[in-house]
Amino acid sequence: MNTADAKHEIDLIKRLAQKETTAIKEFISEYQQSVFRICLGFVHNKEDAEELTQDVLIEVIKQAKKFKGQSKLKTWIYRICYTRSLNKIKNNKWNKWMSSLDDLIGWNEPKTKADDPSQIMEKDEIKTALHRAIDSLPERQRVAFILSKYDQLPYQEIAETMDVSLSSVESLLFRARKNLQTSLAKYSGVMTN
Amino acid sequence: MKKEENITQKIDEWISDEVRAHSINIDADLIENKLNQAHPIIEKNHLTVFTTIIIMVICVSLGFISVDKKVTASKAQQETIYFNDITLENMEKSMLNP
Repeated sequence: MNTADAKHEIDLIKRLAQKETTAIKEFISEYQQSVFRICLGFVHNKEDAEELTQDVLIEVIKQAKKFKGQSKLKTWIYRICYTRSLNKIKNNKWNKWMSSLDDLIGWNEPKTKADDPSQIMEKDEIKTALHRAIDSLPERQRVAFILSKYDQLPYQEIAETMDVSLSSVESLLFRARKNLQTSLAKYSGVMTN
Repeated sequence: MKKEENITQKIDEWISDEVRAHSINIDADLIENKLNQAHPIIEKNHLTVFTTIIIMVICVSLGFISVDKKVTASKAQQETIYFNDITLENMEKSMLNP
């Protein structure tokens, strides 16, 4: 990051801490798409991602006073973003558990199992399989993969965001790719079409 | 092309499609309004937990009251039977030994 960018960040964060309207507008237009893309990578749902994006932006503005400038503003925002997203997923697990209880009792409509790849292709559920595969990745692999693929973040920035070394990021992404390939191997026939 | 490479390429394509298909446009006024909103003393989640605890306490209390009532009723019944027995014995005795 060059000095002009650094100066801009410091200025923006100072104005955000004062809750200046122009700073809030500038901050939202600058970061909303990146935050939204990462949130989407975690929750796979537009409505949840929008809600989460708003929460992240609000938290950043509220916490602006506490930002010490030890890391880049972007890195700090991404850190808040993925922590919030992971928390949201954990909270959603309770709802999913309740939903499965409803399935067990019979209050919900029974879901049709579609393990046959051709059936899945017909229903356009292959993306659901991809989402499931991403969700089943270990937490650190998932974070690295989403930051890399959903927001095209360079490895160096992923390393700074996750507070790990560059080689760790490479290793996490390599393992994530391998795990996804294994999880989605049975759909390879569908993919070639 | 190897099978693994093909899968990886497809994954990248799907993610790109997904990202391209969605975008967000947040109204800055909405964020400002939310920032200016007063903080609730108890958060929604805390309120749910609090309500659940209160309901549990009420249920347990009702259970205790119900059990206590049954015990009291059974004791009263036993005492009545005992009292009735004594009365009959006394009556028999008084009949035998006028």
